[in-house]
Amino acid sequence: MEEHEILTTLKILIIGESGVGKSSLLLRFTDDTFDPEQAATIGVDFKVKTLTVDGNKTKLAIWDTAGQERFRTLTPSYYRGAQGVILVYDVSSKQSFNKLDAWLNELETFATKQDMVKMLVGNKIDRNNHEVSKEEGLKFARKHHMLFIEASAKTNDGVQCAFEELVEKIIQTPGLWETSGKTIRPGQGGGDAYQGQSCYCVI
Amino acid sequence: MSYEELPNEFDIVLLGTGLVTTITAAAFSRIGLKVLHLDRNDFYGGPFANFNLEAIETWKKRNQVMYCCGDIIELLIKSDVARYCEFRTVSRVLTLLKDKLEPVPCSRADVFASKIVSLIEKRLMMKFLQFAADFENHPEEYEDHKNGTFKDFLKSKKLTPNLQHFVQHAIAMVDDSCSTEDGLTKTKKFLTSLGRYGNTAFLFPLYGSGELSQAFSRMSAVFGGVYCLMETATHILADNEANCCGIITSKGQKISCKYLIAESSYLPSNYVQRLSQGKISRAIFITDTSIEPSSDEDLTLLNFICKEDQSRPVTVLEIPSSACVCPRNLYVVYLTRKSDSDDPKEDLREVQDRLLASIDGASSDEESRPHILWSMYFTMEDWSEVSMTEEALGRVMVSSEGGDAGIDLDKCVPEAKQLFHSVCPDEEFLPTPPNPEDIIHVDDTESAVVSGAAGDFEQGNEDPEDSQQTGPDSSEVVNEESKCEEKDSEASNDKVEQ
Repeated sequence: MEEHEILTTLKILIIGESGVGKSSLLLRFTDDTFDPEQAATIGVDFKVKTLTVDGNKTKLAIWDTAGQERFRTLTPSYYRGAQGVILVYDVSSKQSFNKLDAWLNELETFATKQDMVKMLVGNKIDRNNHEVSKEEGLKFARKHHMLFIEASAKTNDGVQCAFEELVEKIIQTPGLWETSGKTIRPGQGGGDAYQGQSCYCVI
Repeated sequence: MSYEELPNEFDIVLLGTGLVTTITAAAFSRIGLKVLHLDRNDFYGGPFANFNLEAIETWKKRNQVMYCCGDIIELLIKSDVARYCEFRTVSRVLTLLKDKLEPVPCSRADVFASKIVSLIEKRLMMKFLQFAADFENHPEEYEDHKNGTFKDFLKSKKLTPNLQHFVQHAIAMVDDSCSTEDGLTKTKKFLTSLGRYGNTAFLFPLYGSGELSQAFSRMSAVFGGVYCLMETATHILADNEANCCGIITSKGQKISCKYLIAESSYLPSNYVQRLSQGKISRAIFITDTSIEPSSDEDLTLLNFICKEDQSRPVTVLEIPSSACVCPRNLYVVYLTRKSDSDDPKEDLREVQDRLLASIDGASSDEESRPHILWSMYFTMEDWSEVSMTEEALGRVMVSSEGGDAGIDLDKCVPEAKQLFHSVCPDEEFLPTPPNPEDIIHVDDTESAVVSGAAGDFEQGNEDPEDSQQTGPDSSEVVNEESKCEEKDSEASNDKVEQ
C-alpha cells in the first residue's frame, strides 16, 4: 500500500458531562484553536482529520454530542459503528468524574463494536483546583480497561497524544476497523454511482 | 440523576419523537427557531422505535422500507441527514406465484433471464413497463380507465394473468381497489427507484427504520434543538385569544412557546380526530433460516396475497443479521396487514402457515422452512391520518404517529413539510446545511447561528428577529405569560403511558 493512501476511516466519539471541555478538545485537535470564552456548545456536528500513526494514514470522523448530553438524550444511533471513544472528565470537578460510570453504562448499552477502544481523558489540568488526582483517573481507567491521559485543551497538553494513542490501539485491534459489508450512504457518492446501471427502462 | 432545568422559552415545543415530528423539529431548528422536543418514553421514535429483545416485550417494533427515489430518500440527501445513517438495499422482492415463491424480475436483464415468464410475456412485460415509466405522456393509453381500477386496466392491456399478478402485486404493490392512475404512479415509482443503488427499488436503514427519527433529531440538535426524554406536557397554557402560549412539563416547569406540535396520543382526546380507519395486525418473528434461502444474505420484501381476502395483502419483510437487527445467522420477519379484527394471530395465520414451519411437528414438505424461535403478535390502531377539532386551542397542531399498513415511509415527508409551512410559509424546508465542519453553534445570546434564515411567523405581528434572539423580546413574552390562564388538558394525564 502506498504511503499516501488512506488505510481506513474511523468513527470516534467524544462523550462526558456538559462543561468538561469535549468540544474544546475536539477543536484543539482538529483546528488547533482554543476559545477560553466559549459558551456551552449547542452543537458541533463532527470534524474530519487525517492522522498518520505508525505510517498508517487514517481518516478520523470525530463526533461531538451536539449538546444532546445535557439532558441525557444522546441517540443510540450516535454510538453505532464507532471504533473508538474519548470519555472526558474535568479534573477540577469531582462530579464530572463520578458520572463516568453512567457514561460507561450508556456505552455498554449502545456501542455496536464489542472491542471498541476507550480513552479516558482528564481535561483542564492547567487549572489549580484539582478535585481528581491523576492516580484516581488512572485507577478508574485500569479498572475499566481504558487508555488514560491527562490533558488541557487550553495549553494543548496531551491532546494530540490522546487521539494518537487511541488510533494506534484501534489499528492494532484486529477486526475492529477493516471495512466490511455493503452499506449505502445516500448522497455520498457511493450509491449514486450506480446511476445508469441496467434498469427496466433502458432499451 | 440530576438534570439541568430546561430553558423557559422556545419558539416551538414538540411532543413525541415519531418520524413526522422529528423531521418537523429538524426543519424548524434548521432555520434558527428555538425548538424543545420532548418524549414521554426513555427512547426515541414512538411507534417507529426499534428495540432489543428485553425492551420489545414492552413495546412494538415497526419497520418499513424506502423507495430509492422516494420523498424520504430525497429529503435525507438534500438535508444531509443521510450522513447520520447507513442503509442496506432490499436485495430481492419475492412474490407468491402458483403457490411458489418467485423473485420479481427487477431489471431488463432479470425479465429476460426469468424462467417464470414466457418469451411472449417478456415482450409484453417490457412494453408495458416502458409505457408505465412514462405514462403521463401517454394519456391516450389509459384515458378510458381513468375512473376504473388498476386491476381492470391491466386486464384491458392484454397482460397474461401471470403478468397482471407481477405488475399489480409485486411491482405496484396495490390492492384490487386501487385506481388506474394510482397504480401507474406506484409502478412508475418502483421503476424509477430501480438502478439508483443497484438492482433494487428499496432501501432499508441499518439497525431498523427507528434510526431515521434519531438522525433527524440529531440534525435538530446540531442546530440548537433541545431534546429531553421521559418528559412530557401535563398542561397546555392559553392566552386571551385561545391560542397556545406554553406548556407545563411533567416536572412542573412552565415553558412558553409560540406553537405546540404534538403527536395525537399527547393531546387531549377532544383535540384530535382520527381520519384513518381501521386497525393493523402485526407480527414479528425471529427465525433460523430464510423463507427462500439463497447464497446471499438477502433482505427480502414480499407482498403476500391471502386467498381468504385478496383485498388485504400482507407485507412480509425478512431482514438478515447483516442489517444489524438480530444476531448472526438469524432472521427477523415482520408481517403487517390491514385488519378489522382484534385477533392478529388469526389474521396472519394463512401467511404464517404458508411460509413458516408449524410449531407442532412439521410435515415433510415443511422441513426446510424457517422455524420460529420467538414470536409476537399485536394489533395497532391506524393513526396515520389525523386532524385537529374545533375544540382545540389555536397554534396547536397534531402530527401523525404513523402506523399505517403501507410498505414505505414516504408519506411522512409531505406531512412534515405541511406542518413546517403552516408556521413558516416562506421558509425553505430543510435546505442543505453548510459543511458539517463549519457548523459550530454557541449558546443563545452569543449570536452566531451559521445559517442566516430566521423564522418569520405567519402572523407577522412579531419582529422576525424575535424568534431567534431571546434578549429583546423577553419582556414581551413575560407580559404575554401573565395573561395566560391555565387550561387543564384533561386527557393528557390518562394518555400518558404507564
